Formats: sequence, structure tokens, C-alpha cells
Amino acid sequence: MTRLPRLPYAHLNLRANPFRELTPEERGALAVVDVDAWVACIRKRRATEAGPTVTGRAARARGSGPPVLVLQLLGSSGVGKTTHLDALHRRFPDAPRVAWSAPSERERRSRRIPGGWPPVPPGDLLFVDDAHAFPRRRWVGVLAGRRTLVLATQRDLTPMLQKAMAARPGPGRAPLDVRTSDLTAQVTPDVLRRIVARRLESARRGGGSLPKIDAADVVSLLRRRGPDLRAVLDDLYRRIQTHPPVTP
Amino acid sequence: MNDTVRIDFDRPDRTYRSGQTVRGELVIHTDRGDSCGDVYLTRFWRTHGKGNPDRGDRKVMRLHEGPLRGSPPHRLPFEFEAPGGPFTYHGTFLNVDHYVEARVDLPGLFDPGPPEEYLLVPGSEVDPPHPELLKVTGTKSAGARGCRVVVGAFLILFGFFTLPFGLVLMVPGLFLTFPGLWRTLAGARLGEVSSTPAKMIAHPGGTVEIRVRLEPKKARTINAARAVLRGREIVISGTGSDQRVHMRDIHTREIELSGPRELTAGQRATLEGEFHLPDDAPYTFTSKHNEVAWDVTVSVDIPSWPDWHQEHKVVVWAAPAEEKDAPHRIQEAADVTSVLPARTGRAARPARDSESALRSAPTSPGDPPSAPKRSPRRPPAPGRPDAAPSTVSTPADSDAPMVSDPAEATPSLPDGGGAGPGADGFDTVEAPDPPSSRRESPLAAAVAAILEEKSFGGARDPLIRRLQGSRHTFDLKVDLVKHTFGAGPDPTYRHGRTVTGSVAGTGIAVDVRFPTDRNDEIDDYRRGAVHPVTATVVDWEKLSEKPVLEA
Repeated sequence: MTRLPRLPYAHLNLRANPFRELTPEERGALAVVDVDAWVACIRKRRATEAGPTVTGRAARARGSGPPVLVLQLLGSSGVGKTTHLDALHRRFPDAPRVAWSAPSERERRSRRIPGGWPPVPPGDLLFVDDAHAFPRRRWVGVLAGRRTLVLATQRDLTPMLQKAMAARPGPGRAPLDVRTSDLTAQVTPDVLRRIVARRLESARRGGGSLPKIDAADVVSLLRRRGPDLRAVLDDLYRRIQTHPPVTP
Repeated sequence: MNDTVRIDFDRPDRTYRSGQTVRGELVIHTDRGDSCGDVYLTRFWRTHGKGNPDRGDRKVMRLHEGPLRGSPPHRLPFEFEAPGGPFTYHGTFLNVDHYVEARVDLPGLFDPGPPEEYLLVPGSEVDPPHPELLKVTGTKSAGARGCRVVVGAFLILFGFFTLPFGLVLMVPGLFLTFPGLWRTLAGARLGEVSSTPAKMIAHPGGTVEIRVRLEPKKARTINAARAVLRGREIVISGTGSDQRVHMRDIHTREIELSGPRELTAGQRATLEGEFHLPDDAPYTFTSKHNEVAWDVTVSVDIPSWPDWHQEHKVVVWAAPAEEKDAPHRIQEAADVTSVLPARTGRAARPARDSESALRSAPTSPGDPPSAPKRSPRRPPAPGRPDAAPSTVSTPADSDAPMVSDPAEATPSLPDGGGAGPGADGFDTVEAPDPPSSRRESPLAAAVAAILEEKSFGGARDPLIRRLQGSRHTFDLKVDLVKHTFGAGPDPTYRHGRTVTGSVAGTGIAVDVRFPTDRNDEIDDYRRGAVHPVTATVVDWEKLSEKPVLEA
């Protein structure tokens, strides 16, 4: 006999597991990040780029225009690079966002849709996830537009970008202004506590209590897993799956 | 007062069988009813859990057009036919749920709240498994295997003669050769060997039969033959280099097809076994990043020799109504109080009917929701027997056009394949033109009139000028989605998308530009899908002889 399903996670007063994999929109909306300084930096650069003077154009033609701004969100796997990128992208929704796509398991099996390099869309601002996966020859093309770049990367790409820029023909070259933010240092117990609280609240089904996750537990999780937020959220996902029903 | 929207279902447990009518109402509390635009209801399925969320079978219905008159709360009834799948599934890494979501066009910040779930269980109408799903088997062809072995052997040989550098070639050579060689060796001992069936549909509570045929050329002994039935959740999380696969067994059962046994030379031996699927076995489901997969692995243990293995995919699917009565019955949970109507249908539904899949209910609060009905098909417009022109928008029409969004259900199997009821691929079948597209269409009529004029001598110019600036609501059949280039378009559209397509049901070609903030939505559009569009004619493309509109 089959029992009918019930509303998911209703016993926990939730709509879904708060520590589930999120869509890019949800990730951007729920991110606990401070990107205001970066947003100001990009806006300032865009404002400068919007009205190039005749002198500016001539300088560009000579290959000596204003430097190309590159913002690097640097960190190892799971520290929140994509989350930061999505949160920034939410502030510039008109700018394209690309990512190297690895073929899925099924795609690999069927060998039908190989993962690959996305085409580089036009625009003065480009968000690139998984930037470390891009080979140098791709960067030569990406740098062609002298656009501002926001990169989520696991390693510092400055040397590669400089080589790629040097590989461009003379008039296409420009100095690079690379600014890097190491996200590993930003994963603190306080940030994690805020992430947990925000995630739980976003999945709330109705008024009343929610599953409790002890603050000390959160700290010990972080100590055990290091700055790998994804691993911490994996643990919390499992915890929610086995959590006893909450009393209203 | 805060603006709020509540979605109420007619059943407290929100549980519906496929084919039944999902009814409810949108309750809108707002003092700004006069400044309200249209009210839409969207239904779709979505996965949530450890895997990247997938969603599909999105259908949009306009419940109301224009300002909301009267005092709040404003109640807008809705009803639609519960889809034929995928059915609600709540597992560990994967959950599949159906939702309805409201959208109210009100100026300023307005949050219509999260989408509300309803639960879908098999009923009278069940989508059949997609043919693509049935084609897939775990068995590789002998030709492909042979090819791998030859390539692998070549790499090993070449690598051997160029050692130590050749080691780089020998390693992949071994990987290519070994699996194929292993199977060939095992097969050499057992002679002609096969296990059946290679593809199979099973129902929860039913059985999965497996049969292995062996015909050795010489007398042989086997230690045992076994079969393992396994159901798994397989989900993929993350993107790019951070992509990870999570797997979890839902069900594993092993049976012994044979113990130690002597096989006579030249005589066929048949080994048989049967698995009983649990009554609550989850149905096979496949979307881009999430999967519930079942398979049977057969192995024959040969003494002092590589074992022989073969894997078969099993498709666990909802049974048609007759078969479902016994032994697979669905028992309502003790705390579910509503009585569900008896099943009446008898056959699996041959294909999704997007026309009837979602209907708006009467918008007058006093009217009871009507029974499902189809919009009458109107005769084609005079003078264009093949062209059923599209349409003027129909506010809150009781048979308002429901538009399926195949885009969200197609990404994984490029040639129209899909796998799973309502999962990726089912909607790759071109959506039939919705009824509204067969009505009179000023846009189609005007374009037809322009095309009837000579293309030279400026005969078309006055007609084109008259068309420019006019606003139309029609169903857009998508042919291609591309980036909007050039400095011409309004800045709002400059980095947006342009959909090349036609007015559904007419063949009248159009280009529709969409604003940048709708890029995500438009990128999901797929060829053949039909979407309702309200757009203004801004230009005429002389080369391809079609209007350019801005949505």
C-alpha cells in the first residue's frame, strides 16, 4: 500500500530544506555578502566608460586607454565565490554572466551535449564564474572588448590575464587594473550564523517555530570543515533531513 | 495596508490525482485595486534538494485583466487539469513538487509570496514514458566494444615501443581495452549469452522479471548467477569544476538466479528470476540535474575467470488504471480526510494536451468553477484558408489561452528526448497552437495586407506606417532566440533578446525584441514553444519582410 505524500517539510514548518541547492536568483537574494564597495567600483568605471572623449578614443586606438578593471573573487572550492558573483550580478542584471559548463553525468554518458566554453556576449561588463577553467586563448578573446570583468576563480589569474593581454595585437592592448578579494578570510562564525538564520527564514512555511540549529554547533561545524561553506551546508542539509518535527 | 496574495485550494490536503481538476482561488488584499494590471497564475513542477533545481511543464494563465474593482479581498477562482506527471516525490537528495504561483501587476514593490505546492499522485490519466527513455539501455553494442578494444590495443602497442614516453599512451589504452576485453573473455567462456529484457516498464507493486540464456560451446561450470535490482537518486549539484554527483540507494535487492551449476556443451540453459517492486517504489524521473533511476545488473560468476556482467535499465512507471487496482493500490494516509473521486479513465494518456492543461475559471466571485471545456475552433479568416490569424488579447476570458513552456523541460536531451513524466523532453513536442491564435488578428491581417502589396514602388509604405506604433497581443511561436545587437533599439532592449518566430497558427513571421530584464525568461524559450506576447510594432524588416515589435 502506498501512502499519499504530504506537503514537503511541513512537519518542520518549512517549505523545503533550507540548505538545499539554490537557483542563481535565490543564491543572489539570500547571500550574506557585502558587495557595496565592489558595486561602487564597477559603477564608477562604467560611468567613466560611458562618455569617452575624443582624446580617450584616440588613446584607446593607440592602445593606451584607461586600464581594464578586473575584479577577482578568489577562494577555494565552497567558500562562496559563486554566491558573491551572483549577489554582484543581481546589482547589474543587464550584464551577461557566463560559466564554463562541465558536462553532466548523463551528458557524459550519452556523449550528446558536451560541456564547453560559452560564447562571449557583448557588453561593457562581464561576469565569469569558474574563470580558472578558461584557458589563456579564451582570455585573449574575452579581453578584446576592454570590458570590466568580475571573475570567480580558485586561483589568481593576474599572470594569465597579463599574458593574454600581451598576446593581443598592439592597438587592442591596455593596462590591467586587477583587484582581488580573498573570500577565504571572510568565512567567519558570525557570517555562518547569519547564513543559517537567513536560509531557515526563507524556507519558512508559516508562523511558529522553526528547527533550531545551535550556534555552538555552527561554530564547531566551521572548525571541523574549515572555510568550506558548501561542506558545512551539506552537513546542515543532512541534519534537517533527520530533524524531528517541530512543535508549533 | 500591505498588499498580500493568498492561494487557496479547494482541498485541504492539496492532493490531486492526474486528470482531476485542481481548483482554488487567488485572494488578493490590496487597496490599490484601481492601479492593478493583469493577474497571472503559473503552474509548474520543480525539483528541490541536493541537486541543482530543475523545473518544467510551465503553463501560464491570465486570471484577470485590468484594475480590480470593488472592495478587497478580490477573489479570482482558477482551475486546471492536474498534469499526467511527474508525480510528487519526496526523497532524501531529491524532491519533486508541483506549484502554482501568482503574479499581480501592481506598481511599486509587491511580493506575491512564495509559490504554493499541491500534491500530484497517479490517477486516471498518466503520461506514457517518453520513447527516448525506453531506448536507453545499459548494454553497449558489440561493435563499439570491439572498436574500443582495437583502439586501446593500438595505444598499448605503440606506447610499448616508445617507452618510457609511451607510458602516457599505454594508460588510456589500458582503460579502453580492459572493460571490453573483460566482457569478451567472460563471453568466450559462456558462449552465446544474453539477459533479457533489455528495456522494461514495471509498476510499483509489480514484478521485474529477468532471464539469462547461456549456450557454451564447451561444457562449463558456473559458481552462481545473480541479479541485483537497484533504485537510486542521482543528483548533480554545482556548476563547472565545482560540479558534484550525489547518489543514494532507494532500494536494493539481490536474488540468486542459480547456484553452482554444470552447463552442457551446445545446450541452452535458461536462468530466471523475479523481483517484487515495493508498493511505494518511486517512479523513474529524469531531468537535467536530477534523476530517479532503476536498473538490474546480472552477473555470472565463472570459476577462475572474469565474471560476466550486464546492466539493464528499468523504467518504473505509474500503472494504467486497470492494472493499478491490484495489487498496487493507493491507500490514503490516515490523516487525509478528503475523499478522492473514483478513477474513471482507463487508458494512459497518449500525449500532453497543452490546450486543455490549464484553464481559467470564471472570474466572477459568485460563479462556481465550470467543468473543463475547450474553446470552439473558429473557421479560418476569409481569403486566407490556411492562416488562422492570431488575436487580440482576451481579458479574463473563460477559455483564456494557456501556454505551455517547453523550454524548461528540454535542456537535457537535444533531439527531443526526455525522460520522465513531464520531465525534460516531454514538452519538446511542438505545442499545439492555442485556441486564441485561431481568432481574428489585426497584426496578422495587417501584415498579410502589406505582403499582398508589391514590394517596390513604395506601395507598402503607407500600410507599414499605419502598422507602426500599434500594439498587439498574440501568441508567439518561437523559432530562434538571439541577442539584440546594434545601437538602434531603445536602451531598454539593447542587451536584451530578440525572438524570431511567427504569430502562432498563421505562419506570419515576426521579430519580437524583449527588454534586458527579461533575458533569463527569454533564454528559456525553446523552438516550437508558444508564448503570449503583448508588443508594439516599431519597425519593418524589408529584407525578410516582417514586422519588428518590442514587448
